[in-house]
Parts: sequence; C-alpha cells; structure tokens
Amino acid sequence: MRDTKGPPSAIRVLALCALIPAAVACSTALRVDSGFPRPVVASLPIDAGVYYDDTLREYVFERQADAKSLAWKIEIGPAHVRLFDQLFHSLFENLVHLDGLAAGNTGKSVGVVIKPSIDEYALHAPSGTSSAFYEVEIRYRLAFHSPGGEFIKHWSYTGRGRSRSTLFGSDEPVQKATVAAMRDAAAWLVIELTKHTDFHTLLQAQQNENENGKDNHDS
Amino acid sequence: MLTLAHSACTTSRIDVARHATTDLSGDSGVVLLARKQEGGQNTEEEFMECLNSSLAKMQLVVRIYPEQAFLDALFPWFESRTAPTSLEELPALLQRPGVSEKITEIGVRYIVWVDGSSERVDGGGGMSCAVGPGGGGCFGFVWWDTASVYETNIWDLKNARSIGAVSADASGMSYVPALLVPVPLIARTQNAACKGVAEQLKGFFAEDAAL
Repeated sequence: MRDTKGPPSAIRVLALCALIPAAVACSTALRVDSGFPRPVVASLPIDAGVYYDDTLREYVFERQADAKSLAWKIEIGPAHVRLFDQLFHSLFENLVHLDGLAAGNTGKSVGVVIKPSIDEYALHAPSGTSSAFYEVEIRYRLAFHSPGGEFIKHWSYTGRGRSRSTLFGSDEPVQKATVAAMRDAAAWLVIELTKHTDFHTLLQAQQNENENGKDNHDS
Repeated sequence: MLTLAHSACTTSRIDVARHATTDLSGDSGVVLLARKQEGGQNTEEEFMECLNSSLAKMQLVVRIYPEQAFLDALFPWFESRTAPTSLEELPALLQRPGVSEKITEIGVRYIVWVDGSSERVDGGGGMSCAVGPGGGGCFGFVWWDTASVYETNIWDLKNARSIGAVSADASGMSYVPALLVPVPLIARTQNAACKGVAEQLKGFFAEDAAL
C-alpha cells in the first residue's frame, strides 16, 4: 500500500497546534484574495443585469475545530463578486449592476436579471479524506429573473478544487483549492451559457410558457 | 531510447518516444502544463518548478511560457473540467471563438503535458530522541522507499498532433541513522526524474532536435 509523501496530516495539525501557545485557539482565518482572468468567449447579444445581495458579498465559511481539523474562517464573498464580474462582463454584451432584482424600477434597460449565490462551501482536510490534498466543493445557485423581478428559472452547479497539503501551514493549500473550485465552477458556467447563443430567447420562452418557472438545470 | 542512471540511493529510468520533428523556425513558445483531475493536479508544484527552471537553463530555441500565465490567457479552456484530454478534442477547442487567436497572440506552439507524482511506497524502523539538563540526542534508524513516476506528452498546437513523449521512473531508499545526531541520507528521486525528463525534453526543443 502506498502512502503519500510526508508525515500524516493529523500529526501536522498536532505539530502546528503545539507551536502555538496553549491560551490561543488553533484556528486559521483566511481571505481569498485572488484575481480572476477574463474568459476567452464571444459575448452573448444580451443586456444583462446582475444583482449581488449582501449574503453573497459577505459570505464567510466558518467551522469549529475538531479532533481532525483546525478551526476555519474563510472569507470568500468579495472574491466571488470579482469572479462573477469578470465572467459576466465578458459573457454579455452589456452588464448593469443592480441594487435589487427588479431592474424596471431603476430605469436601466436589461433583458434578464441574474442573481448568483453560494448554497454551500465544503472543505475537506487531508486528515478527513486520507489523501494528500485539501479539497473544496462550492455549490452555487444562479437564478434568472425577468426585468420586472419575476423568477424564471435557476441553475445549480458545483465547483471542485484541490491542492496538495504542505508540511507547514494550511492556509496556502486551502486558498489554492478554493480558487481552483471557483475557476472550475466558472468553467462550467461559461460552457453552459455559450452553448446557447439564443439564450435570451430561451429564457423569454420559458417565462411565457412556464408561469411557475420551476424548470431547473443542474450540473 | 533508454537511459539508466544510478546514484548511491536512486535508480532512474527514462523512456523517450518521438512521433514527429519539432519546427524550431520562428519565434515559438512552449508551455509546461500539469494535468489536472477533479479540480487539482497530482504533480507536485516543486516538480513543475524544477522542470521549468531546468529547461530555462538549457539552450532551447523555443521560449518557455509560464504555466499560470497560459491558464489565465486561455481561461477557462485549460481548467481541469475543460482541458483537452486527447488530441481528438483539440480541434474543437481551437475552433472556439478567440482561442486560436489568443494562442497565436501569446506565441505558444507546443504544450508539454506533465502528469505523475512522487510517493512513499514503503518504510520502517524507529527513532527516539530525548533532552535532559546535560544535553540531548537521538538514537535509532529510519528508512523509507520513494517512487517517482512522471509522464510528459508533447503536443503541437499548430498541427494538432503529438510530437512525442518522455516518461521517468525513479526509485530510491532514504535512511536516517541516528547516534546522538540524526544524519538524513535522502534519495532525491523527484529531482532525478526532473533532471532526466528535462534532459530528454531538451532533445525536442534545442538546435539539434532533428529526428
């Protein structure tokens, strides 16, 4: 049976904790500060509005310490706003930032309103997966609304990322795994949106035909 | 071509396959990309850094393009979810709007895909250390085997074909005997694999790279 290089992760956690004075809890605070590139895509001929609510803007993952893991506080909201901005600016011919779901109230002309959100952020440490990697899964929900704010449909999708653990310090691999998961999710979104050049027409048709607007599209 | 190299603690084997010649005329670039699965790469970053720095020191005719800069320039088409896994997928990728233009703009002609990792396969022994008022020390003997297995595949983006492949398989036993002071004797299998692969990749991208 093969073992990965380096000491087991549980030992690393204990070693790290041993280096910290007993009065201080063993925890890691992290802010994902990565920038994101503009995707190489042809813009869809749509004027889109995007609404980032405070839940997304201020999203923080928090977990208490247990026998196998440190306590974590990971701030990922601002990084997601930067990521979605990069994506939507390239994917749509025109992008308007909105303060709410109803674009009609602002006098701004858009064909569709998009509201991205994070359903769940999951972090798996090497000690929990018996691997040499930190693994991150982020579940997203992308809701499409009419310019008047009526819900049309939503997509659910997941981004996955992982990064090899290092002997000292877990913040860097967790940062890398998180950014990898965000880029993975962005790749899915770009593929799905660029599959349909008549995306706007499809949304309008769906809105007209399905008053309940409950047709979902999951990754 | 088969090369066998022995050192005190490491044995490495390098295999090379050539399918076509590289076109070294003009200003061509090459990028080394770690294969990614499920959002991450198995290949250690140290191995990629070693390979890049080793090639940078060689007199190559091609420019080495940084991996992250390439991934960002072509985002999101070389992420783990989207990167072509076979040459058959390459034409469809190159036909996506803006992809070929971007590759031409940054001047990358060749991709070297890198996959593999180094793993500890066996080990044993024991060591105990103690510290007292009069000093401290360790006593014991620890050993472990490491296997480094890496594979690279060279693609020509312009002609959508494979140029060749280089693989490395290095193994070695590390020891740490301790009589008061531990003395680590580490088998650097990853480094041996890196140097072996870099030396063979040079054969594809240096002046005398003709078949």
